[in-house]
Amino acid sequence: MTLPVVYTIGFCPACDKLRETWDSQGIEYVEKRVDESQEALDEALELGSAVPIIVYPDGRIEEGEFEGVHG
Amino acid sequence: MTITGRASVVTPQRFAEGFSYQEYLSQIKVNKLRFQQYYDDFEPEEGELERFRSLVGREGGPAKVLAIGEDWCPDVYRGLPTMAKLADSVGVEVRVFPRDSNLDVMNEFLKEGKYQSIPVFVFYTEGLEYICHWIERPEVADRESGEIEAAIRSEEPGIDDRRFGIERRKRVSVRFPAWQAATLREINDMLKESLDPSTGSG
Repeated sequence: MTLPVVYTIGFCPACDKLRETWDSQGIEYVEKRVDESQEALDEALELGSAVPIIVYPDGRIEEGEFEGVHG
Repeated sequence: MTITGRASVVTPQRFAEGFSYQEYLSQIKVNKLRFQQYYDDFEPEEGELERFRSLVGREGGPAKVLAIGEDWCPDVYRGLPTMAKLADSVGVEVRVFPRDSNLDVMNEFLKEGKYQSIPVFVFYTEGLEYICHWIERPEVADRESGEIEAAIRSEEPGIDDRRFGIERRKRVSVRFPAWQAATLREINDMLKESLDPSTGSG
């Protein structure tokens, strides 16, 4: 099964909200921390400009909603 | 005092606790090469560099800069080397504070009063009196980003998200040197306006 991939940073209310929501709903996903991995960051930079960036198995990409925090 | 009139958390002691630019680079986890590239490649326009030098040389002019950033952020790995190179060119002290471990500092300089946008460059006198601060990116960067995105959509209306992101990234990155130059111009205009509020920029 292909899982959604989520690009996040450590301090990010929108990322926290996404994790909490999906974890509570039992939705599986792969998380990649762009503040800890150059490889993950370079991937993310070609996908969007605001975390969280969600890449769904069908190729759709969503960029995070900022709730008080901009990167 | 802060711009809101409350006592600032940025005391002389706190300011001195910030990283020097080289110390900051030595401890970041990502983008070291990009920070280096945008420092090495940035060649300030001579006239604007002289304007900055002149402003720094004035009595009550900027002598210290507090910079807030995070290493993963493109606006930071473009903007912070720009500021560092300017400061190095004219002898201004820069202290860098990672945003996420210095939220009390960050929250004194929110964009539109609510966004923790970075980078932030706060200009102080030698005695650490607040002069002014600059946030995130030059105006031209916002405008051109929008134009680039619109152009891509116009050229290829059915473009998928991944190819759109790659194309946007490619076209935006090409503009980074021009946005570095624009950053210096905006900083000069802002400092001039702050130091000579009755005469405007120029």
